[in-house]
Amino acid sequence: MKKLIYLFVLILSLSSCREQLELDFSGNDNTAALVVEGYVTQGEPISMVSLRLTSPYFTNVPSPVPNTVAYVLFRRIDTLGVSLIDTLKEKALGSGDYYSTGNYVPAVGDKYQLEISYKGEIFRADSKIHRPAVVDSVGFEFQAKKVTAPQGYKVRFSARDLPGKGEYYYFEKYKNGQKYYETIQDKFTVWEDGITDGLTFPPPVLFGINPSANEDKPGYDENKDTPYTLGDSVTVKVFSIDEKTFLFYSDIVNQASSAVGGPLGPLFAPPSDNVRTNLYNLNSEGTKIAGLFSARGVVTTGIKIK
Amino acid sequence: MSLKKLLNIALLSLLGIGEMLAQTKYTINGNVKDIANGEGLIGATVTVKEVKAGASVNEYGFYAITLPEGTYTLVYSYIGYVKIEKVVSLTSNLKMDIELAEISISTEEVVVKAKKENDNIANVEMSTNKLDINTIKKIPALLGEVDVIRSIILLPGVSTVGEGASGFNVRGGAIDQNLVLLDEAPVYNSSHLFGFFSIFNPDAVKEVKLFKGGMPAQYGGRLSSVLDVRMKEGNSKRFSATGGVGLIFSRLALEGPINKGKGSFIIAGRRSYGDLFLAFAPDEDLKKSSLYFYDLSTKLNYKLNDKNQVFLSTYMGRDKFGVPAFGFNWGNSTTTFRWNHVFGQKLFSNFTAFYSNYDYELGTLGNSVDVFNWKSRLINYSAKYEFSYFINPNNTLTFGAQTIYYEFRPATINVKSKGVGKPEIVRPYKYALESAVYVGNDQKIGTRFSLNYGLRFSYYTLLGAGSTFDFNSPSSLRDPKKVIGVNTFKNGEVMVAYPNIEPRFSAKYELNDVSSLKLSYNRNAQYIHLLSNTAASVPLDIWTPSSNNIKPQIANQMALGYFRNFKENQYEFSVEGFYKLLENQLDFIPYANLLINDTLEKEVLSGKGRAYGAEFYLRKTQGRLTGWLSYTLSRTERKVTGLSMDQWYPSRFDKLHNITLVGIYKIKDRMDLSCNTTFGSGTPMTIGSQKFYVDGVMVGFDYSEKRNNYRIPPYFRIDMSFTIQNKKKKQEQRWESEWVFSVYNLTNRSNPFTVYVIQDANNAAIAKGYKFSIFASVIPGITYNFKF
Repeated sequence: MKKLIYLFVLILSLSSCREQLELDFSGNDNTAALVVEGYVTQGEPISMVSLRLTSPYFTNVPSPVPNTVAYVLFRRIDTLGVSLIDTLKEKALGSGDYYSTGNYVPAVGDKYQLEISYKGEIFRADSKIHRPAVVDSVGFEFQAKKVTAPQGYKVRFSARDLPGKGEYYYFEKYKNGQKYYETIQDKFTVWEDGITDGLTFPPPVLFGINPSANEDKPGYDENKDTPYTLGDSVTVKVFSIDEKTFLFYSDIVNQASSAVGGPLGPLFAPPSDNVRTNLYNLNSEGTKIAGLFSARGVVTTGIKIK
Repeated sequence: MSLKKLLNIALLSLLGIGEMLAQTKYTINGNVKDIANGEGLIGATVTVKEVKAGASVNEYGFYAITLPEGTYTLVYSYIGYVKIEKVVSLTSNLKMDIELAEISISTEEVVVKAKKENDNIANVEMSTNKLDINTIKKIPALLGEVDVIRSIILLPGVSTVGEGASGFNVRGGAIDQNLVLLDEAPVYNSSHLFGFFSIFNPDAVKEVKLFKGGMPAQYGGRLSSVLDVRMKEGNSKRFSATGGVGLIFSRLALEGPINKGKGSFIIAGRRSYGDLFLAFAPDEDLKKSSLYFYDLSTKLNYKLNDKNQVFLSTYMGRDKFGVPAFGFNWGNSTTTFRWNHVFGQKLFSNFTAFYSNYDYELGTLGNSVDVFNWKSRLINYSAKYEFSYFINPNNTLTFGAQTIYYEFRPATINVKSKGVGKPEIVRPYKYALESAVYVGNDQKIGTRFSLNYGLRFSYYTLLGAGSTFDFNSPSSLRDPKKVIGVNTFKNGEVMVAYPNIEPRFSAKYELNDVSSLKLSYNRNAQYIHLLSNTAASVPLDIWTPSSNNIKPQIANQMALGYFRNFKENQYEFSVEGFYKLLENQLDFIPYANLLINDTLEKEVLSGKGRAYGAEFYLRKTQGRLTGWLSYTLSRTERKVTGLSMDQWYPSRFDKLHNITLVGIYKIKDRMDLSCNTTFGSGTPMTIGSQKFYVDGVMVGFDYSEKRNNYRIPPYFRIDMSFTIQNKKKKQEQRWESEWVFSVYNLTNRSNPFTVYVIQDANNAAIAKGYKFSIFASVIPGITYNFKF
């Protein structure tokens, strides 16, 4: 009888399911919107802005490049009030990727305005470089084999926010020079200083630089998800971003949440609205725009496990 | 009793029945009860044959009729009970306590031939459904467990977003627009296990009444419905027990008399035992998981004398859900004290005081080294004094006052790192007071026409200590709102106040003995709001009070109905049309952050709502086959500035068609076969049809920016159950038992709750569509029930 009841409990908890389904979006508006992805990073003279178009989910053209040349420029005002206009150049005709001249070095406090003229319309976005976080320590330790995780090394790093509210962070990790992430949540790890203003970042954010290395995790990849091993070099970049960049990244994570979170995950997912972008068309009735333009501060740290 | 005299004069002149004062009049009053267990029979009718009028038995089993001196025939009747006629010669005030007997199986054949009453035609109530617990028990249930709210969802005008969604939606209203009352105390989350079961233990429930419209003036505080659940008083004749053993949980209810029937008690509990069996799970993590709920309902009542009776009811329940690193739990508790007192012969009064609490907690529960625990709580205290004045057979006046004090504790956070505690983070509490006075009258004019009209005046204040915030108004939702002003208030200071006048009106005209027309209008105000920005409501949604930024919600509803019975009232048919306009409906900016957010009001948007539709209901009440067919055709929409291009968009629970068919067939005396079938149009959800990439990650995009732009495939489900009662060894044997075998989702259909698109793990360029279903298989169940 016990076995029987256990079986029924399992049936109930496991009877939820995800099945592949042909979704019919024929009733939707498939007009293409302009997509921008542009970054200006503290200390990096060359900045890149790429222009693409949105495309229907189920076409095999993942990220079409606009077939009309755009005119892309930065307006920069530094902390001394000196302003300049930098016209970006397309890397190769038809690539959709535009580069800055490299004649100046972005620094904390600089304000940038991106302006794109495309098919007779003007699109803009503003972003400012915020001061970076402070890294206090970085080290590693050996961890013995656990029930669900193989043995390996854990990197422990500690960093903190400076006092003063209104600061936002985005974390990137690199394993042997390669950007590394496991899930969308992991990729867009962001933190708002709100309730931890002036404090060390919380453990989930700091430990997040380690591979989860949990064999039970759905989609576990034994080549990729193993803990760090001797000889690995690990780099962490903590970007200080502005509020709208923070919202953009956290919206992406929220949008993806219906696809994750265990058997009941989709119950907790918010409506899948468009993620909030900081780009806008001067004509609010004109072509729609998506994406991000982010000017950001950065602090980099790393360690080689040896 | 000078106050009473004054009232008498004022009311009688108001009601234009002063001329009747000339005669000497006497009052007959008393209680109408079930002969088997002494339970009051709510809604039983007492008809005076000679004057073709009468009274309804109130929620406490009391009635009163005032008539001029003379000889009368009183008919006491109640659905499913044998009626009793009493001839009385009225020369003084009279107390008549009547006990009715349930129609037993052996007498059923006789009674079927007898004419059934046409209560549904004659009653002024419309948009109202009453389900007695015996009907609820016959409906096929998930895993064989009878459930109040799952039964309510089968009625016209009631729907749910899907399996796994907490609560229910009535006539296009959100789930927080239902006033769910358990012995008059509000329950803030009526669901166990994410809505799979409701918190009401069927063994302790006497009656369930759902008002979808035409609410009488004594109910207020929510826009769309009142679900009035009354607990049993407990058997005052003898000790008895009911219970059941099922696959998910077991139940036991004990009841019995106190002091030779002067009082009685009931105590009923349930506990699910999924977790007990998880201990045998092969998986370490699963072993340490918890997944269970329990609830305990108790009620005591004691009759001090003919004029005074007191009641004390309590409920407590909790759901726990956890895996080793993370857990959460939620639960309600309520305590209600009531005192019935009869002033003179025909003024019945009830004083109620209640306490209600809803809280949840989540975090690293049970871990004491690295801790992050977050608690949220809503506490209520309320007092209510209500009077029913049985003026004469044509008028029953109800009036009273109520006040509710709310304390909201949005978040208390405990953090420990490596065993070292950090200071507790307490987000500011919020306090509010909601008060109302009301008066309503049930009036019969002639034999065919009756009215119920009333007025409710409600007054709400948000109280200090606390702060109100002023925000800027950016031109686009793309730009987050900023605080531009803060006003701080001292303890007890009035921060914001809102008054509302809420008229209520229903009328009935009987075209003939088998058909009537009914009309109703009601205006309701709602001062507290459930902030829910998830695909369906979940236990972690936050209740918040009205403020300077969040205005009270208002609804105006009109309904028109035609009621017709066939075949000597064996078939009841009704069609009702409704139109509801809603003001200050809440919606949210994209990806609103509602948790632990002191200025969450900046994430909230407000707009209009409208819901309209027609409900068709055909019910067969007698014979071997009973049941109903219900069809609801309706729309529910919202319009919020800044969302969905400022146009009307369907709400998440919009279902154009909703059909249910419930059939209960008595195969033999001891065997029942039941079946219910549900079909509903797919509910809408928001999903983009396009994609773009950010650093190689696919992101969804919708060019139209319309809310709820995609329809989930339709919902269809068939459930069946078979009940067999075990044969009694002797006729007088008290032990009764039965087996219930059930199958939920007989056709093994996976009804999608939501759909989504994800990036293919192996090829970033490819998108894949998925549907997610909560129950994607046939779910069998077996339950053993007993009674003695």
